[in-house]
Amino acid sequence: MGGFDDDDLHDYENEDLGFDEDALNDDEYDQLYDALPKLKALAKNHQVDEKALKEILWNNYFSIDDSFEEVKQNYKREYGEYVRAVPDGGPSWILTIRTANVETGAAGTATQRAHGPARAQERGQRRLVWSSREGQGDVETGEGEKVPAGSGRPGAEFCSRERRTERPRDSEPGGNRAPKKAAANFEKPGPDDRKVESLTEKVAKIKIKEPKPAASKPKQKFDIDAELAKKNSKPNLSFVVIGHVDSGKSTLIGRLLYDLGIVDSKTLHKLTKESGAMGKSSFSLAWIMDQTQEERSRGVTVDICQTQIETPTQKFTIIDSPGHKDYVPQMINGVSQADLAVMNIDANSFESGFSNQGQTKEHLTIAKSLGVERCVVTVNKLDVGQWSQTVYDAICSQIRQFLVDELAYDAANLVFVPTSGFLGDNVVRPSKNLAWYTGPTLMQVLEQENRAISHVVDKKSPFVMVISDIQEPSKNDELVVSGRINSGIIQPGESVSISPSQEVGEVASISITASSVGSSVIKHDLQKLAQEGEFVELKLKKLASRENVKVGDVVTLSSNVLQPVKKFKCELNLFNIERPLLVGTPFVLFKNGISVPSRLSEIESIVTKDGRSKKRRHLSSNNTAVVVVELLERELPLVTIAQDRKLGRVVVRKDGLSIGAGKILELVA
Amino acid sequence: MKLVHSSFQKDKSGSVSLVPQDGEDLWTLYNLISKDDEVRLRTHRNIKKSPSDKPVRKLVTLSLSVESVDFTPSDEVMRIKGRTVEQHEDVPQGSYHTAELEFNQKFTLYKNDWDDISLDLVNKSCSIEAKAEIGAVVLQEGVAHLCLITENMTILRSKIDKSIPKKKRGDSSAHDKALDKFMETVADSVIRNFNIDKLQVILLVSPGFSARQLYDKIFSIAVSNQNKSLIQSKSKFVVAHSSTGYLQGLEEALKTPELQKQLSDTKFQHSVMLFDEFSKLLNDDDGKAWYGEAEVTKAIEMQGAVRTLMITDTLFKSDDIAQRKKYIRMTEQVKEHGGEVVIFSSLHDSGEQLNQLTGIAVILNYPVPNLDDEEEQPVC
Repeated sequence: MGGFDDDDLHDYENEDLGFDEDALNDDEYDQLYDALPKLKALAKNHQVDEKALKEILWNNYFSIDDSFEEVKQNYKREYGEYVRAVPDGGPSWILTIRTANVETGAAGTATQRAHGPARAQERGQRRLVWSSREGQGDVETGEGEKVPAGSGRPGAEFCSRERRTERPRDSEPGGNRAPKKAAANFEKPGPDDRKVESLTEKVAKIKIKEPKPAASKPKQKFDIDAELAKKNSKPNLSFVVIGHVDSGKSTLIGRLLYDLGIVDSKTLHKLTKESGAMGKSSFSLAWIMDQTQEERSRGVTVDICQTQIETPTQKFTIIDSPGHKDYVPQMINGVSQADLAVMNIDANSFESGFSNQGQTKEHLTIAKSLGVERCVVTVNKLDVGQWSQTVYDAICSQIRQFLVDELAYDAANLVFVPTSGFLGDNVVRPSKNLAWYTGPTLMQVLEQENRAISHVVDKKSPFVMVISDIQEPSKNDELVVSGRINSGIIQPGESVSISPSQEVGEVASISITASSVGSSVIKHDLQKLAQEGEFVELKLKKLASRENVKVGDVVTLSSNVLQPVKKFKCELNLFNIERPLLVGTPFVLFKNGISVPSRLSEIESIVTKDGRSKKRRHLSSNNTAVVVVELLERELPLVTIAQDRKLGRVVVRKDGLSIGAGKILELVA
Repeated sequence: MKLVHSSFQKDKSGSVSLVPQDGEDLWTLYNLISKDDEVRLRTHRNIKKSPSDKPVRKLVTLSLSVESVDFTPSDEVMRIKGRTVEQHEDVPQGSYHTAELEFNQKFTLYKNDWDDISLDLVNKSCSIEAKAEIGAVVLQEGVAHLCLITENMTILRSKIDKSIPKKKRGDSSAHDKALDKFMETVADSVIRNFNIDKLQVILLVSPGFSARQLYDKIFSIAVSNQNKSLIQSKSKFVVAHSSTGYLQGLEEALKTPELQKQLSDTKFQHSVMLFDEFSKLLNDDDGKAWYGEAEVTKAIEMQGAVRTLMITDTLFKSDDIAQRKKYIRMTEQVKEHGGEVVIFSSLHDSGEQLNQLTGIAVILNYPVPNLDDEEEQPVC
């Protein structure tokens, strides 16, 4: 089969001959954008959009004049300027020209190519354009400015002839009124045009906003300041108990709760019986916090457990964290909700926890990296080691040295307490066995710390809360989210937005769960408002789809929506690492209660002793660098360190080791 | 892949007829077929006899001069785009055509220059040794990833993500219930998604006890459903440890000694270990590990210095023939002097990491400091 010429092949290549801006080569692209503004200026009175202009330009090989003629031909003027340009011009003759054009086009095609008119029509665009260009020549002749462009062709000839014959009639003074009226009608926009115009106007007025319902007002009116003052009369301290596995963290907390009367002897008796049956009678106190079957049968804490207690003058939030290496992620979650860390150390196996494989150092490093500036060290299980002061002193000095020298803790922010969680010495009750120790008990230290920590709340700051737990009530549009309020205040009735899903809901109620000293009842108190630092459960209603809400999401007022991002720039401080951190290395990023797989995507600069060093594609131990991190699986709403001292911090782990900590400097959209 | 026919000329040009059989083969072909190769295959095309006719879908055999190849690993679909090189009754010569490569369909590939890498790809994928396919579940409480690992690919089959309420003092029933439901969902998904008879090993990887819990769950389901074949494959399930339930936990688990023994003959395990060794040497900073084209080129010039050359398949995929030739020369040089050449698949995470790190790296037999001397400072 012969008979295919280049053009046919071209047709096969691009079945659609339409204009595609992306398919242009550089030269064409430049030409297009050179010509476009000029044509736009010329065609500003025509109802033609930019895309069409581009297409016309392309069809006319970027010749502005030709293109404009085509615009004139094919697009209506917004005003009757066309008619004005040719006074008394008859739509009658315009119509004639149009018909003539089609003929010219068809004839032209026929002469140029061997194909029939059907073929030409199928080719569509190109042919039509071409024919209209020929037509343009005629219009110009008509206006008497130029010699007819296509005068050689029969069609053009015919057209211009006709034009000439009609002209005298048009220019007759007080000529035929009918064409005039018709002209006037054409001047005005037609009914369809009017509709389109009014619609366009309306559409133009619509401003596209984030879809959100009108922010609702708080339910009740009351004196906010008075309520806040009432709250602040009983300040809340949140502390997390951290330390190497089996140092007795859960037991210590169990003891604290039992001795404060929050857990009654009946409950403890039951636990003692149960643990005894499993041959783990020494775990009875720990089981107050460790309740899941897995935790009890394995004898380790798996997840953090948070509980709130209230003394006559103060409030405390106690967070028990797992010490096992595998559960450092959960422990990080706990630390991110605490103001103070209680480092619990097993006096009898101090070395194993303090070695590089142990979690003592890792936990302390994480606490410091996440902005916990105060630390209480309890040297525990002293009952096993005959209450030895030498052991206690030796441990204290090593820990103090590590905290002050390596982690840059202020020595004044450190307190050391010898304890026995199992027997209860020096937890709530002072110890008879520790004659050499004259300081306060752990509970007294915590009360001191609560007084020492500043509780100033800036009620003007924006409300931000990171969700640490979610429960699903039976109603489909409701959700109970809990967490610690990072900043600002919230009241029932206010509408909130949850990032990254941008789910919007209304706060139905706020409650705080706590137990008072001396009573084993767990109270759920409804609140008129909640403020920065409090651990609350927000019951949300009117949620569109609650499945989108996940732990780690951020709740804000719907007037202050956080934009989630996929990349951010941060200053990363590496710890001692065995493998360098290469560009492209995946790791797990921890940020306020959640972990996300991420990748190091760029190293911007590495800070060395002599300032910034050269570009390199990997980081090694103890480097500090400005890097770009990419989140791999989901977008997250992030906050820079400048916006929030705590939320702006991240910890990075790889292969089960904490390898660095960072501060978010900038979000990369 | 099946090799049906091959013929090579003295000038290294020649053709092979191949039958792809699985997704793995498609990936091999994706790396094998490059621009300007010729592919002859049966394919469907919409044909219009004359412009006014309705197009008819016809099966035609076409020879295409390849312009580009697309591959989507998750869908196991590969498309070859090119122009026909022969006149055909229905298709004019030089027409564009995009053909989808189908399993169990013979096709012929003609190359002007069959270099070692290309021949190697064909030989390896056509060897009769059973291909190792491994199933893996990486999980932690609330999130689980099911993936399939073949020689050259890690494919995420399914991801399960569920929020589990936290335990509370006095009541942890909501937590327990949600966790049990989660484990059940994952176990069901494992049974449904994996062709357990075909898989060599199924890894269950998690921090803590989650993997063990999943293992128990799978077999309690198997027992209650009386799924005999599943119970018989119990020995294929291996519980392993990682620090995270995200996908990167998989690589971490592969580095543990227990799994190394189990999977020592698989290629991806080898590349994970090599990359790990490379990272360690880089951290030691004694000049035995280098990356980047300039540094690697210098190392190769010192004959016999290179112990292992690591290079990703992406570099060979270059359309620039000179570029490809250069890399092939590098591999040949290393082999000549007794070094090992390992080609990383960019569909495994280790390959992706190497890709981010310029795509080429070497481990040397002895330290050579300052390979990057021309720049201002030594690495590290």
